[in-house]
Amino acid sequence: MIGFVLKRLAWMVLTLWVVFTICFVLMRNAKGGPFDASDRKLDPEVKKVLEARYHLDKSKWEQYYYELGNYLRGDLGMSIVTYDYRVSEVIAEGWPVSVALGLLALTLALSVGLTAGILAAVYRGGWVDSLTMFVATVGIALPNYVIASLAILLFVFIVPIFPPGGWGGFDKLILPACCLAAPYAAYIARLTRTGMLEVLHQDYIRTAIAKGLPASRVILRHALRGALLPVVTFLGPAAAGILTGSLVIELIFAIPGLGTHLVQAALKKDFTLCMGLVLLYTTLVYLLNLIVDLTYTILDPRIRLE
Amino acid sequence: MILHLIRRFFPLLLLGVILAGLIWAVPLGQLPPADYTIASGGDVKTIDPALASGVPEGRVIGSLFEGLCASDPRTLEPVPGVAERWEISPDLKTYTFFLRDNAKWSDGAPVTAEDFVWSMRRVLHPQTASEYSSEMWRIENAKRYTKRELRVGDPVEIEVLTEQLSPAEQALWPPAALASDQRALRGKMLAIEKLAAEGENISPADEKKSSASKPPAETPLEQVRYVVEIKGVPRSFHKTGRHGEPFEWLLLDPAQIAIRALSPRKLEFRLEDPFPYFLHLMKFYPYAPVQRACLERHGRNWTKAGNMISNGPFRLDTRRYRERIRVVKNENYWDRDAVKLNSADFLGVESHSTALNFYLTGQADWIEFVPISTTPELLAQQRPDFQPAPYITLNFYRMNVTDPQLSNKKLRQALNLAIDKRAIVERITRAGQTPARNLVSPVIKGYEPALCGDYDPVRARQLYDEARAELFAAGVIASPQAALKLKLQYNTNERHQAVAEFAQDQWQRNLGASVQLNGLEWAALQANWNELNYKISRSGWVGDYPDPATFLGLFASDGTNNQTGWKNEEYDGLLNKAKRSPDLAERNKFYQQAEAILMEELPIMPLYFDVSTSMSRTYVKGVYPNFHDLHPLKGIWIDQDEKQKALAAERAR
Repeated sequence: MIGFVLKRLAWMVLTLWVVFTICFVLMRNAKGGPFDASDRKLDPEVKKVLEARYHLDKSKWEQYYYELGNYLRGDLGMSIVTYDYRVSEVIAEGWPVSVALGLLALTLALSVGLTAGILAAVYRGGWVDSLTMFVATVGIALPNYVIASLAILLFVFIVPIFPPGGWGGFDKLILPACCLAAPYAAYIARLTRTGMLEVLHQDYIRTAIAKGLPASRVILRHALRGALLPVVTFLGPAAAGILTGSLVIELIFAIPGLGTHLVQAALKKDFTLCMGLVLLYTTLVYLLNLIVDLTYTILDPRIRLE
Repeated sequence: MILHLIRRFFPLLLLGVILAGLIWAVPLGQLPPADYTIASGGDVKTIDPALASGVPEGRVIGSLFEGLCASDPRTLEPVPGVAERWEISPDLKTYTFFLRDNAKWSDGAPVTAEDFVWSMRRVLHPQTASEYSSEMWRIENAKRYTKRELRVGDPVEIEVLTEQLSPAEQALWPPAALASDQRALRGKMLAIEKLAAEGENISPADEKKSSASKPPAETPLEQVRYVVEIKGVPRSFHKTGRHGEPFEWLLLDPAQIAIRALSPRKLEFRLEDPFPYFLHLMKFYPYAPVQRACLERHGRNWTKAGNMISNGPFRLDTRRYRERIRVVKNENYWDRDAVKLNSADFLGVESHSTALNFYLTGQADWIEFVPISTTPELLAQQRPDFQPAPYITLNFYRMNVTDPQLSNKKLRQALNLAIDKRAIVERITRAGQTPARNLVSPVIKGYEPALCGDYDPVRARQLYDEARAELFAAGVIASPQAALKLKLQYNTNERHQAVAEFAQDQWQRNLGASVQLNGLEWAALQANWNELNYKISRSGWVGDYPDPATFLGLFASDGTNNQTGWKNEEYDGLLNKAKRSPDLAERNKFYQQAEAILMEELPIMPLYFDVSTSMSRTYVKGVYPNFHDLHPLKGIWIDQDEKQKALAAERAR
């Protein structure tokens, strides 16, 4: 198992290097640099001094080696556009926000999805089943910014129970987390339902029922455990999707998380900040997948890591 | 065994981890609401007055720092700030400010004339790379200092290499500019020698000694050797050290810049040319003082909450990246009794829709923009809190006169006459914008604009045909009957796109030209302007102060923001005459003549003059409509009774 983890971490380093290179090439070849995005044109000499300050006056190769060298030393540099911040400071301020939002969304997606899936499977063919599956299909089909707009209209203006966004306080987090979670909850509900239906026909379930165990115990202890595996497999991509999906949600709800920072950094051509955030996202997604894989073996003793 | 336990309690474990995460992260953002909250178009780039540019930055810095003058909240005319009074010489070239005794920094130290001198030198130093240093070039020798325009005989200052500075000095922000006082060498320029491009053969010194130096743009710094007399000894300096001692910067002695502290309370500026709007510059944030001791203590981190020392009505309390900046009342401010707010928040909300949501639910008291699509509805509601006011901004199309087709003046005139600008403001923008037939904003009083032609499709078609005949004769197009192919680029935005589609339609319908639209992001658009890589492009300009020069100066042949390729000597001559004139009426007359040339030549096509579309809660008092939509926090107060009533009524609804 330790060998497996080490191997995956080695692959992660390689992935990060590839992402770094692709990101570097794309950013340096995009039209316009960080000092073109200002409101008015800079004096050519001012621009020269600024470019020299961030080594943008060097050749692309020199810039590449310089920036890669900084990363290897663990120095993420200054944000080019927001002079007052280091990239590491932006990340330090932004990541608790994104993590809190992501965790809440994941919890919601799991709890709502599992409950709905179990109910739909148990009352298969009834109205509960039809309703949950209908809602789930709609939930998967709608992009999260549409869900967000509808949610704001409903729960901020028509029935004012939530604030329209911002950061600070649990109440401000619920609405965005719900919007972020919705498509994943829907997908998990469908996965759970399918898994449950398959398991409920197995012999050991019939045995459990025949032994006279209460229905709730059979469903939650015996059936659910078997039905959970596809859900756990999905958790990796779901966590990654929730992290990256938060780009849009954070903007709509004005949440100062990594997503907002990445979008703005890309628009303003803040090379250093953009690079730092892209690599952070890569690391997070990679680690999440690793954790899910590890969880998988913990939950199912039949699976061995290779 | 352990695995088995984990397996058994896995759901509980997961729940625990998630709960712990939430409990850890959420409280990090808790702050009680401020007295007054505004959302001003996104987060700021920096709150360092020397490095900032832009409107949201101005709002924050304006509350933290106070220049020699402050703004009247109604008219934005200059009123006493740190200076309690001033004297202006009759030729409008010498301005003397008398600082008040009780002006203090937020740490209680007095604000002195020397603070201003030091702060402005910092802005002017080339290493600071301040975007607004050019605004100070009206001051004698300021431009020569920043642009390193040196002459033989000048007193100069030579700053040692950054790597020779101590770590503490290197941490200064920017290092050379600040460390210069202690570390620089001073002397007199004896000779400026131009080296041959290869760098080995030095051309005869006597040939170069007599002539003034070439601006650095013409001669690369590596090809110049300076001979400077220091304490009676001539020493040679060369940028890279190949042909003399190396240096970081070799600049005019800053003592030559005509910003002088005559006493701790008396500050004098001498200008190159008469300038009637100089007091307006004194309210502008690059001219705000920063505290030297604070910068020397904290270096680049001086703008962090807890480090920053400022002299305005408020001081910095909290700053969270892209979330909010909170300022609280500065108890050491000289006019603290006039400051009614105890705290104010500047939100980092980017999206205009989100800002409007914040406003409508009472989370923001003032927002700078509403989404364009909502303006007609907001206007129809006749809300007292939504009153668009003229803003000192022109929206226009740039035309690249270096393009073979657009170099034709008749074509540019035809394009202008073919667009019904009234229809743009009535059908597209719809918030009270006015159609534009000139460059200088009508909010500038006392100036009579020179207009270009109004909408006239028949005349436009004639000019278009004449232009095609001329272009055919010149060999630019293959046939005088062929439709011209034009390209219009704009920065992607709901409104600019709608206007571009309208222009496309008008040019096709009225002229028969074929027009291709190209939506780009802002940075790409600007890069295209720099390279003159466009035919027609959307653009806009916000005037810095109510002076025709802030608009007309754009299209001077050497104007940084000209970016149309258009050059006209007569135009430049008139601008220079206006600049030298101490008489306001005569000055405006020259500017009007210059504008007449521009409106005949049309390297730009004016579209419409913009309005502000901010919203301000009616219980907030001291907010008046003005041409910059700028509302100094100092004079703002909240009518608490009205606020409670308004919010209660909204909750009940």
